[in-house]
Amino acid sequence: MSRLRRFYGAQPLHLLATVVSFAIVAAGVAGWFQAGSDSRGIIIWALGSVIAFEWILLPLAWVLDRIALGPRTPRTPRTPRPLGAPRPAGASRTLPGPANRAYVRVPALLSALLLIVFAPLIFRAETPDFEATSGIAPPDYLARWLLATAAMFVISAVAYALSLRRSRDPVDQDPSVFD
Amino acid sequence: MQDAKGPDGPDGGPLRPRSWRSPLRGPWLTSALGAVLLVGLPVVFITGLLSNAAYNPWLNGNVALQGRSRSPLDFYLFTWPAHPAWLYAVNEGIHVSLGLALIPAILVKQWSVMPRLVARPAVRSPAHALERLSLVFLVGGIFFEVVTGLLFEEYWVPYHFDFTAAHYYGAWVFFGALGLHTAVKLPKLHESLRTRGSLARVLRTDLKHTVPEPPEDPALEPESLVPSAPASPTMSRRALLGATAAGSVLLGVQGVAQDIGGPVRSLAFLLPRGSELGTGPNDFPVNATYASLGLPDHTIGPRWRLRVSSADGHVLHFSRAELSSRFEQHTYWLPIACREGWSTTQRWTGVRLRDLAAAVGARGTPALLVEALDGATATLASNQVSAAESLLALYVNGVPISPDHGYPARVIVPGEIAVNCLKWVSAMGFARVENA
Repeated sequence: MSRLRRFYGAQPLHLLATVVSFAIVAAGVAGWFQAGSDSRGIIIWALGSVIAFEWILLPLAWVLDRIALGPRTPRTPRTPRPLGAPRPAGASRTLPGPANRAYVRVPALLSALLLIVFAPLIFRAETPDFEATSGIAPPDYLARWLLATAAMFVISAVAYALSLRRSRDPVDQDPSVFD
Repeated sequence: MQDAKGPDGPDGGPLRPRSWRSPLRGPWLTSALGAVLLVGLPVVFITGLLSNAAYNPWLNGNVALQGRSRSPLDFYLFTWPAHPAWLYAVNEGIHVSLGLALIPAILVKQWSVMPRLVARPAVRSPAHALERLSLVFLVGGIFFEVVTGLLFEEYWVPYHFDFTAAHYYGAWVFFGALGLHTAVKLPKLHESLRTRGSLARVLRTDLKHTVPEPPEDPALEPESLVPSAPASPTMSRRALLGATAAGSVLLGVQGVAQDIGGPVRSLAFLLPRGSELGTGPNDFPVNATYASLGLPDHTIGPRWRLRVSSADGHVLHFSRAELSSRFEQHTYWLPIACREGWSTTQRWTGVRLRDLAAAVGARGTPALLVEALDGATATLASNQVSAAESLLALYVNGVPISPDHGYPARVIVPGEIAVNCLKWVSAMGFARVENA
């Protein structure tokens, strides 16, 4: 038993869970074929989901990090602080500028989210079913998205103004999380 | 880290683990998002299965899934109930709204574990190899489900397969993989949330006080999510979680608004069901226009007759006027609830299905095969036929139903999915036995 564990790299229970899991996955994939409606198309879309993830989302996440974190000169000490140790003196992480960029980033991220999720409607994809099904012509979703984006930036600007006013009053800050 | 070849600095592209420097990444953040998904995704899965059960797919003519009964995953444990009337509307509203609301959490969770994908060595043991293979189905599965669901909601069909079957079996692919992922990661999730921080503290911590999570013991966690060379934070964790939550609200509200309808429907401003058609008695959302059938107008003219038959071979024909004058008319507020997750509740008036069964001499509690002018068929189970609110509706909100809503007559059944409540009904056959 311990030889199996050493070779396999986990408990036998892990192997059992893996077998059950892959059986369900296999039944689902088989269902795609049994459904009998363009199963090749389904498989292509399923593979496309995996490839899109690896080749679009992975680099995208990395690029977003780069944009968010700026040039890659590390400002923090190279050696990570051990758990519970006090923060070294001078390792302040205050931003150079006065503005907290979250007030720009959050509405920008939300706007991007709406754009991605509702892209077919916003970019007016061919939707012949829209009118036949709903009985109405598609409204101008691009305008609606732009309005929503503008509204979110306005709300964020107001929130920023309020935070500036608040920060003039000295308030005790809570200790750092994870310290 | 196994990053021996390169220089010490965080150089290189996304394939180098050290180049992932966000100080927000770490087991606590991933576990917090994982906990949200662990609660939310099973609800979406179960409401999805229930949505399939609402077709009563075991009844003749109700083909929810093509090739049904051939897969072991096509099991239906019960006949869909006819009460409460809002049953399907609420079930499907939860499925679509929660599915939408979880998209931001899925994306941010995915962002938080990206460095894992490039961790070295890629495979440490057979167990680890199987886990990584399973992730292909986990990640591919969830993206497939989200994308097909969204395209279906938005009426864009750039594919040729049957949406229902693809989405249904795709859910099983994802959930098979999620089972293993949960079994492997749940202890870590629990431990991270218990020992590495609390939500309350994260929400109190501003940017100035945001620091990376404490590093993990490489012997216990060879693929730590805590960056080995963290950059200075430019955003607090609470801002990231706040953005995620705000995104969930933005998307979730779209789904909830199209399901509740009425005065709040316009909040679904980015979904096709975000607007009422007007203020008239027939100006509520349509799920297929009469024009889209391509039938000539006289098909639903004065010569239309409804054919009603029993299993014994009795056949009766009724004009619309006869249905209206010879039968007692009943009025109920009932929702039309579409599988797209929108619904609209209106005041329907018409003949009880069970009165039609009695008129044609059908005995016992029959099932009912309904046929429509466009060739559509649906079978209603006996509990649905005998429900008092189940109507062959002739009027809505006090006026004759419009052609788009199924003139001369449409079926409306409490608690049922809209596709089984046929419009433009042409024939009704009461069946003696039901293979329930």
